[in-house]
Amino acid sequence: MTLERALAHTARACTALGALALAVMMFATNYDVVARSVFRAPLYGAVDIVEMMVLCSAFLGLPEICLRDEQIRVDIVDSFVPPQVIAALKVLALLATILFLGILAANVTHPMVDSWRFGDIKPDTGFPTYPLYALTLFTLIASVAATAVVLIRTFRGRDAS
Amino acid sequence: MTATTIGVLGLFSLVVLILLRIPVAVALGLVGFFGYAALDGFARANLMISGVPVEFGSTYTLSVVPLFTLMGAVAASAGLSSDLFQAGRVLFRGARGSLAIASIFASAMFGAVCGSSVATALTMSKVSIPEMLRAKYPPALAAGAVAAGGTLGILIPPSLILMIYAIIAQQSVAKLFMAALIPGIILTVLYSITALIYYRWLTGNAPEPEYAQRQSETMVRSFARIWHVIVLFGVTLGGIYAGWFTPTEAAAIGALGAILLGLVLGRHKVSDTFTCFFETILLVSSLVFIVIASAVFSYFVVQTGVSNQLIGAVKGIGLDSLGVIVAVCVLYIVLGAFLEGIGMLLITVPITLPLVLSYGYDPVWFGVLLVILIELGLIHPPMGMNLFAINAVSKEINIIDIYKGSAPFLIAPILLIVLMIMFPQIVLWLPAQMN
Repeated sequence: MTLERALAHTARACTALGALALAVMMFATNYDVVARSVFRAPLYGAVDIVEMMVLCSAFLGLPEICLRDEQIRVDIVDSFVPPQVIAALKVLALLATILFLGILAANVTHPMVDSWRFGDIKPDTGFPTYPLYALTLFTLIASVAATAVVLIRTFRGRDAS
Repeated sequence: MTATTIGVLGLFSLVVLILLRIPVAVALGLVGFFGYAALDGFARANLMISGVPVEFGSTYTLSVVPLFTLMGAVAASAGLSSDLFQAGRVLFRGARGSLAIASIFASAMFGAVCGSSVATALTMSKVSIPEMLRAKYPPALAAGAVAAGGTLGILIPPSLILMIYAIIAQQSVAKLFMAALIPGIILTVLYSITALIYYRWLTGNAPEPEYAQRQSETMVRSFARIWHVIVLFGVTLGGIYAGWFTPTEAAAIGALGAILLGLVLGRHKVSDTFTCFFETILLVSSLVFIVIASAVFSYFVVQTGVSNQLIGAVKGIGLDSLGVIVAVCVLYIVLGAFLEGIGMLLITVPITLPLVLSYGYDPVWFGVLLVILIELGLIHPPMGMNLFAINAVSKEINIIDIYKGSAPFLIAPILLIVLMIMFPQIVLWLPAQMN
């Protein structure tokens, strides 16, 4: 299995986990509403669960987005410049993406270590917060790798043509 | 270099980077980070950015975005749009331009369960444009009605743009949803009147084509087909209005309700539901990435004090509150020609919101105004995302006809903005009645 295929599988697995987190968030909130209204027994820690799951939903799709190179961008310039310039701009965009994701990843490590060292927890469930930082770090690193693969693919495509 | 100079340079670099095809999120994040570093050094910039991803990514308010997006994705997958269009056809049977009006009506109803404008335009163009062309409607009118109707998707709650505005402007999602409801209904009526006049103008005094009038279904029967949309909208928005649910709870109920209704009514399979979940995650991830980057950018903008300088400069010119809001509207209409809606919102709100607040405008009112201005950008060239969406689906209508067809519909949102400035209660009355 090539590195690119392995990364594609990882990215898809991350998206599937994100979908699972979204389902957990939806069911937990519905259960909380019904249990609170009917049995006067709300789900303990519902807010914590939603906050943790929304983080998972938000970040776990990022590697696949990067691999598909489907970030929101303005491509108005495409109608005015020759294809070679567009190709160069695409490379520039990928390099800029790697730089920004790298800055985010590098800086998430500090709060993650602090959270682990000081034993930070979510207020209601008592769930430790460092796994949330770890998950964010993992998705950011996976996204950097995915963008790098797209960059290599772009160069290979150019060489082939 | 002063902080203001760095701020202005940052804004200029941001626009250049975005126009050079750098993803909006990356441009916002890089300018925000390096701009902050230029002001306060890299150590503080690192400290600022370190907490942003987890802090913003795990906000409770943010949870409305994936849940309402899921509800919209399921509604689109379940093919609700054709039932809505059919109900509109029966409702407006006999009127000239009835199919165009039915398309606008169906878009408004679809917007009540789907918060995306482009998704509404895409879905409706598949259903209503072929029918309008079969009835020999002018292609420009068919395209214009669908493009304009699509914009209702981001005004009629639940609205994706309003949710993002609520997060960055720290406003209540519930109040914003309620505030957008009456303007959404007014805009639906204004678009319908435009379609009526435009049809007459294009076809002269020709009667409604026979194909458009061919309807045997009764009103009761056609509305019985869309009861699920009415129930979904009633439960989610009604629940928020009555104070029974928070917006997150309403979104979760709406999403689960849409899935169950789709499965029970045989509108989609379990595998379609999985696809909706996957699509939602991919859309939400790219949106949240932009929101996180815009938070980095906002920290930079606040640090530069550009907003305060702008407020001082505007007050120095002697512009009154009406002049300021007109200037802001013109700015957004111009930006809408080049920038995509969410990007435009995230770049500008940190600067324009403090300005309009300093002139006494309500942040909820301003949020609704922004959505209408973004709507204009969706149907005017050269960006006009809805126009491209229609062009992608309806190959038989050329892009020039699409541009021409959408032009008359630009009058309606401008008229609504004038009404909102003259009578702010159009926006503010309903949120004030909430429990």
